[in-house]
Amino acid sequence: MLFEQYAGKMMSVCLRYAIDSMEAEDIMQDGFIKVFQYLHQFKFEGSFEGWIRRIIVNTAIRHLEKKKIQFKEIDESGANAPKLDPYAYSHLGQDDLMKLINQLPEGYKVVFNLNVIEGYSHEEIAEMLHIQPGTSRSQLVKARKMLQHQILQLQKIAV
Amino acid sequence: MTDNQFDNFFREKLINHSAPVPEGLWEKIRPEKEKRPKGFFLRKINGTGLLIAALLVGSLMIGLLTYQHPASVPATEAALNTSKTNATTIDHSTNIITGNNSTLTSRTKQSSLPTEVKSEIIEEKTIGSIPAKKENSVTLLPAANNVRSFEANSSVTKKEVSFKPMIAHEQTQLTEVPETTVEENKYVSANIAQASLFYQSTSVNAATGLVQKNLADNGHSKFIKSSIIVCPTNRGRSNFNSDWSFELFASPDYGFKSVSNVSASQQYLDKKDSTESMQIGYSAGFRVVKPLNNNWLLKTGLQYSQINQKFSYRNENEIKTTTVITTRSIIRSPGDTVLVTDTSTLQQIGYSVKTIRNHYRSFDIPLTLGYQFGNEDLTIGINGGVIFNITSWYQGELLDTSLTSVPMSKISNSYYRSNIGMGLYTSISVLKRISENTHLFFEPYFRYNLSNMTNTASPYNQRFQVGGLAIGLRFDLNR
Repeated sequence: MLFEQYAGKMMSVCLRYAIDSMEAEDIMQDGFIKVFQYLHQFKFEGSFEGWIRRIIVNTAIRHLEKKKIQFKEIDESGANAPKLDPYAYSHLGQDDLMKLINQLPEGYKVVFNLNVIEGYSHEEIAEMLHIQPGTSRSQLVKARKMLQHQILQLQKIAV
Repeated sequence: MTDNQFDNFFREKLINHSAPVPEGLWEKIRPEKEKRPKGFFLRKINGTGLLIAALLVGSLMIGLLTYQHPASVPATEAALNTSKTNATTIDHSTNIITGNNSTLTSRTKQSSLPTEVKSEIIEEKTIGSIPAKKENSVTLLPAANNVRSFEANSSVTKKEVSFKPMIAHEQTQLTEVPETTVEENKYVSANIAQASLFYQSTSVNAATGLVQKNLADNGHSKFIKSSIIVCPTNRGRSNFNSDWSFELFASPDYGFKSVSNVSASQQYLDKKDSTESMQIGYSAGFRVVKPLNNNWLLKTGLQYSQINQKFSYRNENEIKTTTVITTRSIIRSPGDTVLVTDTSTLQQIGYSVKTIRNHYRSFDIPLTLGYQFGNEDLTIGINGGVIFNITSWYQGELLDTSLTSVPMSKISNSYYRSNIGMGLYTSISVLKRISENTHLFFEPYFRYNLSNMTNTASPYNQRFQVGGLAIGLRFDLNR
């Protein structure tokens, strides 16, 4: 069954964009309704999972649009990009990474998800979120820096 | 560590990450899925399906048309057969007549009289002269003609003596094969051929009518049944209808939009879909109706159509700035009054909704074939055919790919074609006579456009299928 096959992965997508599990559930519900609604329009030109994922991501963005995403420029002038070795984060599991992403500010999180995980270019993200490509780039840099900081913090706590 | 390594780590870990799905989520989705509107049924049918349907309808119509033909074609064939048979019948009668030379001369003289009167006179005379043998009066006129031609040939006249007994024998035994010599048979055949040729060269209508009548009188019903001759001037044209009609109509229409993606993002299509909603449009025009026969008719004309669409666009981040000036007076301790004016600005961020009515207009030429049945008072018809677009244009506003509202007119049109080509048209008409030459008609119809209205520059394909109810008047001309 279509839902059973893709629900787990799509739920993960929803959780990455949503603030909490309730919102993720709403996105998931709306997204799958659209999937069934537009199922006949799938042209078998790409992967079916990719097509569902795009619908879910678009649904998530529309949910976020309603709340007006704030693309804040958090002042981090004092903090340089930390030097992080791959072993510092290689032990992190999927759930840890999900938590780290969810701790990001909303704008950072959306741009990071769209660019790094979903693979959209900054121009595409700009069009999707009605922002400048430069804003998307700067949000990504800052999201990455913040994640690295958080990983370092985790490392310190562990030590 | 590079950023790419960092990103790749996240991507690889999370791209296939699966999270537990809350229980009962499917139960929330399933009812929505089941109650989801199916849309107009033709949206599910692709072009091939419609082509097949059109072919089926066409076959059905051709079938109905050919069903009419068996009645008329065999009639024609029967007419042709009877004319052949009749020639034989005439020959028989001719042979019979040649036996009585004495009466022939006087009968020939009467041949200048009108045929019907002549037959009666001849019959009376014949009956009077040869009461015992009615056969002799059977084919008086052809016989007279035949004998006249017969006598003109001197060589044939010589053999008349030997021929006469055989003829007499034939008079009494029409159905029997005469026992004659081979030479006589040949002679008879020659005579028959000559007689029939001559007969055909004379007034066919008059003579055949006479023959039939006389044969009937003489109990040759078997011959009559197979020898009914249809007048050549009427043959095959009995159902032809020389009338013309003229129709004026107007119709409320509703357009069914179908959109498919080409290169647009899903977000754009969703947004476009949510900003546009179809509204009632209209069509008006005239048609010339040419009945082919009592049932089939051909229609063509010119019509104008307008499909209406409501475009509601929500413009986000609208900023409204209000300047507030507050004036107050302060009484200070020495007793003087100071007037203080404060100026502040109030900024409100919200959204504005823009609502515009878009129009899609076109001029078209319909060409339909219809089958109608009923009585003089109430007629029902089924019509099918094609509709050719002459020109079409879009006017209003729509979203471009940057999700900005842009105006669209006949001149500044980058997405829509100015001619959408051919469409299929089908309708059912109900006509009610309201005066001698005027009918009121109601015609629910559906138009399926075969081509997209968008051009190759458009990031999506769009079509409108139109349904409506044409109400109009049909005026019968040339009646």
